[in-house]
Amino acid sequence: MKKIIIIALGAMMLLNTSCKKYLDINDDPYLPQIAPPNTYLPNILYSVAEGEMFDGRFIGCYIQYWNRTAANYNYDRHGSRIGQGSTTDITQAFRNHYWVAGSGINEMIGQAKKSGFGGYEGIGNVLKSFSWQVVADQYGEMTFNQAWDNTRTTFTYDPQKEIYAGIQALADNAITQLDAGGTIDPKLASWDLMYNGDLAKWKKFAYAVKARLELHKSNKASFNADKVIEYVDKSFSSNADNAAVKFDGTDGNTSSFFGSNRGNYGSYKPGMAIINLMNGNYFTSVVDPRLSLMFNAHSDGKYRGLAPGVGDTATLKAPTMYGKYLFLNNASFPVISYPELQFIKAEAAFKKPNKTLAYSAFLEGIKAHMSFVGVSTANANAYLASSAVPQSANALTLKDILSQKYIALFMNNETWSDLRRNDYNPTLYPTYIVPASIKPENNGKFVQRVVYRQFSEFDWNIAAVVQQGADQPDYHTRKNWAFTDQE
Amino acid sequence: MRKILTLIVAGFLLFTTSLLAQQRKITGTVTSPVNGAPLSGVSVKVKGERTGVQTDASGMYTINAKTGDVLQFSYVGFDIIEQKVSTSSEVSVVLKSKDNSLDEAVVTAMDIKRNPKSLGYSVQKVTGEEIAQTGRSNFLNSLQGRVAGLSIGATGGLPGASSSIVLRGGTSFDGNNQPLFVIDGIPVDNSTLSEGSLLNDAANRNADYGNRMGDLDPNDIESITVLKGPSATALYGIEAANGALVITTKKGKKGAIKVSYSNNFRFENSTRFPERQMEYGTGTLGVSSNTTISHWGDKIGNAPTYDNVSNFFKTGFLNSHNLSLSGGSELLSTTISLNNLSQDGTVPNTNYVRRSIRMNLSSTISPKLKMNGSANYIFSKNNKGTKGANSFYYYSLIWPIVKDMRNWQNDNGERVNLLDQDDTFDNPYFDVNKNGTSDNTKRILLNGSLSYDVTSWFNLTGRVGYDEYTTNGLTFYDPESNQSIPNRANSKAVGGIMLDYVSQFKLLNSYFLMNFKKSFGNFNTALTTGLNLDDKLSRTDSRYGETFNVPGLISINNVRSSSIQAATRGYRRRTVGVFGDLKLDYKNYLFLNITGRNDWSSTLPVQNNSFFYPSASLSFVFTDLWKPAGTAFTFGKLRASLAQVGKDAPPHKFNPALDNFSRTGGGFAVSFFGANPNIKPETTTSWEIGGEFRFFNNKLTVDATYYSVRSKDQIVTTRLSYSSGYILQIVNSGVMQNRGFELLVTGKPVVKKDFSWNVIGNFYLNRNKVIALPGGFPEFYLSDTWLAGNVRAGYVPGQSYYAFSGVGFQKSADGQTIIGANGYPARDGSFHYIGSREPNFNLGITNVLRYKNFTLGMLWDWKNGGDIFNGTEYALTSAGLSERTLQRGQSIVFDGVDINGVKNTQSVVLSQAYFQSSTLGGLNEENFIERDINWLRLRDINLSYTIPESAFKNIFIKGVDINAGVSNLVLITNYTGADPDVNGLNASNRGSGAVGFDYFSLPAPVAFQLGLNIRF
Repeated sequence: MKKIIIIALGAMMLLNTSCKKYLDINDDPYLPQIAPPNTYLPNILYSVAEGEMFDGRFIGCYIQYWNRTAANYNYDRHGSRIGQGSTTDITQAFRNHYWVAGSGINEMIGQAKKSGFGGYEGIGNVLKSFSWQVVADQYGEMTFNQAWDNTRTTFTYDPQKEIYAGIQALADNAITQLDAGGTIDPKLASWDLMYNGDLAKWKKFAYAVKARLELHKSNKASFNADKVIEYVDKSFSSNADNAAVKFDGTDGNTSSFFGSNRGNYGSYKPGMAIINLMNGNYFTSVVDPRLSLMFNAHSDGKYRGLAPGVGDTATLKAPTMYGKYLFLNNASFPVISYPELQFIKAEAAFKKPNKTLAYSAFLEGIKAHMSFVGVSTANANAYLASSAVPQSANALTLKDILSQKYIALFMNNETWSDLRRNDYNPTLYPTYIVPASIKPENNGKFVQRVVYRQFSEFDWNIAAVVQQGADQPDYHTRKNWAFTDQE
Repeated sequence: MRKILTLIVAGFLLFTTSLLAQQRKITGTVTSPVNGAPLSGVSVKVKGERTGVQTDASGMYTINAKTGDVLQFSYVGFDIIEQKVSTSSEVSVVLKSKDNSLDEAVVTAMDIKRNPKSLGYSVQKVTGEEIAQTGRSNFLNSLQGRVAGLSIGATGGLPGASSSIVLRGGTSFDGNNQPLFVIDGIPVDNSTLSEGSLLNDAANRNADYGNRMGDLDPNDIESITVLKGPSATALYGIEAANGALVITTKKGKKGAIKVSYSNNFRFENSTRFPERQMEYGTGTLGVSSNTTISHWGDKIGNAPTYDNVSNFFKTGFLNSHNLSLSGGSELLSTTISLNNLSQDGTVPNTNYVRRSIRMNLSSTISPKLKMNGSANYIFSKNNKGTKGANSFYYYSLIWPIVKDMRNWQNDNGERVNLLDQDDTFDNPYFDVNKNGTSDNTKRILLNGSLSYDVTSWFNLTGRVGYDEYTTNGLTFYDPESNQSIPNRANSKAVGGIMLDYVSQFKLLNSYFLMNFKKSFGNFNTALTTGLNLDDKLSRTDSRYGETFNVPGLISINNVRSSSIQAATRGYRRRTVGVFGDLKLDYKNYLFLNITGRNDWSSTLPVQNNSFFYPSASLSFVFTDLWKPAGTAFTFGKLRASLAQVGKDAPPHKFNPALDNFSRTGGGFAVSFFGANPNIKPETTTSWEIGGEFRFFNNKLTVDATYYSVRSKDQIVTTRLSYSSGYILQIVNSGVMQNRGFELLVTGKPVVKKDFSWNVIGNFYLNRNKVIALPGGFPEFYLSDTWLAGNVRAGYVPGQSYYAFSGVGFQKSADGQTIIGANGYPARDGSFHYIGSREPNFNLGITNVLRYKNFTLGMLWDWKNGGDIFNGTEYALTSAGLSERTLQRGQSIVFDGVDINGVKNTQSVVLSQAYFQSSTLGGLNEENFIERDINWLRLRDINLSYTIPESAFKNIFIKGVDINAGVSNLVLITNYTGADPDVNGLNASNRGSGAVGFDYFSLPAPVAFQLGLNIRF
């Protein structure tokens, strides 16, 4: 009897073990559960850029870099909501930030720690701080402290001030982590399509984010121009340092979101505001040498743009944007560039005030962008000597800096932050066109922020949305904390 | 070794000697229960032995047996009687007349055959003949109206279309709600390919892939037993939480070889189309133009018109042939069945072909050892059309009637544009002739079982089943086509598109059962314990390519190489279950059944992957205790049961894998799903009570059931705020309840030798209620059902999960429509409950009239109540083709009040803008929720004639049946659209699905069929 019991127990234990083994198949048979840290990086880089490029279709209309070919376009008219619902098309930076980019960064850092590789944590946090900056400027208040806690079903929004402090801390951490170095993954260089594993350049990217953030507080009494200048100086030193996301462009899948293969910008044509800054309309008879390199001409060889909300017409027949500048299938997209940083420095120095420093950074910004676009030195110099450019430090105005920055940042949503920070001031943005028919729910006000995403927030986090007041029809005209004078 | 052999031989000798030692002669008489007359030719044998003796002319027999043996007496038309041999040498019995229809054993869970009177839950049986006779290729479609509590959701009327099936309303918000299919004791797959497993990640809106049970040829079905709820299916475990359809296939019987041939010819016509206005032509704002397909132009006037729709659809034709062979000896009997079905749809170039061969083998190797085996090979092929937006159906309906749609290509074979500029859509003829969506499936179903009676009270049974199929599918669009695969480029823009895939599925199931039975005085007990292993593997490889280099060659080698994308998706899932089933009865009138099952599933985290659930049921045949006098009330049974069943999670979701990243740089990306290491099984608890009562000598049977099913800890794939870091997650949350009533009435008003009339009525109603939603959300919705406008299958607490949520009109506190300052009805700002697809009740009535050799069968199907979203009408309104747009230009004062409650008096114009705008109200979704839709449908009417056997004397034909019938002949409904029986998606959809969303799915055709059955 004892024997039988022992045998039975033994058999049960055997069965138990084999049962456990039999059931241990919950890993996907065709996809990895985890992967080496390097393999996460291409998707993270892509997602960080794609959010901006996707949303740029609509934010670019606010900026008036381009406008829609169909008349009365919601975003041309400073609208945010579509119809009566709360849906907005400006959704991708938000989605990518929390999801593929954010969660991807978290997993990449986790895997790097397991493998004992340095560098990844710093890189991850630089990209995360950048991504935070983009979305915080779009939305203002967001879930920061509870972000990436997927045990929760409801999330509260944190004040932008707190998020800004958090981003600075994240960037500072990234700098410390990059300085620490550690064992470098031999695969990092070939998988890091932005800087080929050069941690010094990633550190410069972190300072670029810090500089942007610090400048955004320019309306506050506590604005510290020295800090901005310091960050810029520690940041990019040439276009070679640009935080550029690369695209192979060999097929639709690997093409830039701006490229014709992806077909995302067919219904948008150059905005009158940017064209008029460059075609000799505003800077009387000075044609910007960048114009023909950045835009296609009309059939008559002239350059005109679309006014917001008016739409394209049979007589106007505005040319496509495809084929020029960054509207190429294989053009890299700089999310922050050296020229931008020079204009940041110029503005900070101007406000310090140190006009001499401001003027030299201003000129460097123009030159750097000319070179980025591919303008010959002779043509660039001719432009710099023209009436479009102030010829002395004393003659420099804020309008000059912001106008040149507006051109140099063409296609970058950061310009919307500049516009909002400066209240869409017509003296600072002389070619900016007030739409003839601002959306009725705006009550005459310009757009200041983006309404939360329907799928994510309105559908699944409505309590926070209501508390924030984001269900109000004019919510998108409420100013972001960053751009006000509130401390 | 030698020792063991010696032991065995010794044991065997001992056994036989003792057997011989105690045998003696037993004699007795067998008499009839009717008149007490002796019966000759009655088989008498000792139970367990293969041979026996027969009674002589005076009803006498003599047989060798020992005390304790059981004698079996069997005779045609009578029940088998068992009698134990006591010390007496005489055993005489009175046989008992058989009542075939009422006490015929039914197959229950685990293929256990039981007397229906012992069941404490409701089951219902449908014969294969009833199903096969309707001539439908997908047998699921023949079940509607024949079973109380069963609802079929047909996707549409194209050949090879999928159908979904739900018993008692479904239990999961987000999981699969279809029952388990079991063939001869082995679960088989009935999934429908979901586009989520293909590269394009589409939402199943524009294509349909056929539910895999459609592979089974109806001619091979002997019967289907429907086990409706957890009480009946607790033994099957996880897979049967939504009930089970237990199919028994035709088996060979011992005797001479029988051959039969049957065929079916079916002519199908699409006759039901939505009404459209024929007054106004294409254009904008009353001005005719040829630059738009929207009908907002001037009146057509006297221009010649074409009936494009009638021209386009054709008569479909189905022919099916079945040849079967059966027969054998006691030792080995077999059935071989060959089927060939080919169907041309009512849409040009759509067709469906199914060929199958099935072989069943049954063998009694020894009195104690029985073997059963079957193999079924099925090949099916389907060329199908598109559905939904951009489908041939949509464009054939909106094609301008002043244009001949047949003019789709010129003499050089180039496409002809309808509009002055390049069309952004395809002419339906172009679509069905130049584009293609097709698939073919090869499937094999194997089933083998071995049963060994160790002793008279102990049996061992082993059963293994294997289900494997491979589907090859291809979708291609002509380089000139405007179609596109969702999330991919337009075909014309890239010079042609193709997507092909290979989908493989493997399901291995094995059971090991130990059956015990023993009687103790008045108590009979039976115990079954068992082990079940279930192993499932699914894999889909899909490839996508653009730009055909050489025209006309559809091959991945012939596309631009840089455009090729490939993906492999799939899953593995394993479960282990142990179970026990204890049956106890007292004097054969009080039955208690207790079951328990423990499952371990691979889809759950280790700490939560084991779960136990019990069931208990009681049946009490009170008329056996208190025999009623007379024939008015002959049988009465009360039953009650309580059961629980668990459900596991979808595979690979609690710890999701990474996704491929196919853009620049490659590598991997996090998936949509966030991890949830704490997920636990979903639990469904159900109870039911009921009774069965027979009156007037069993001429009237009433069977009523009330049930309540409550599911909690629902495993739901919920979207979350992206702040969670992911888009989706599986969570345990939500509570749902189904309560319902089923009434089955069977009557035989006339039973005469030459004429009989049978009526079967299946009445059922189900009330579903969402008690709580995941995460306390106010609404949970199925995003795929968001087909047209802002209407979706939305779950709102307190309502049925068949609810619609949508953006409707603003209402005042007293329910009046609020009219905006512009004089038009104001639109609400958010989604809320705007209707429910749940019917009040369903009633299926089958009448079978027999006169001599003629049989007339009729199935009427009545659905009462339930709303339908007429998305087709929504789209037709926007296109200016709905008859409601005939009001264009008229002025109206909308009935309603302003925000201050003052009655509206403002007159406004019903302009084009009104009809095309959800804000102005013409396109407000609430206008297209059609409420309280009823239908009365003559699903089937069938007349058959059996040529009398006397006609075939001396020739080898033994019998011929001829039958003719019509399906879907009559439809009486208050629905304004074409047919209310539609599904906006397909059967792969989960949760409450998209039944009741009418969005350009072609309704089932009217079909005339003619068939012949010859027996040799």
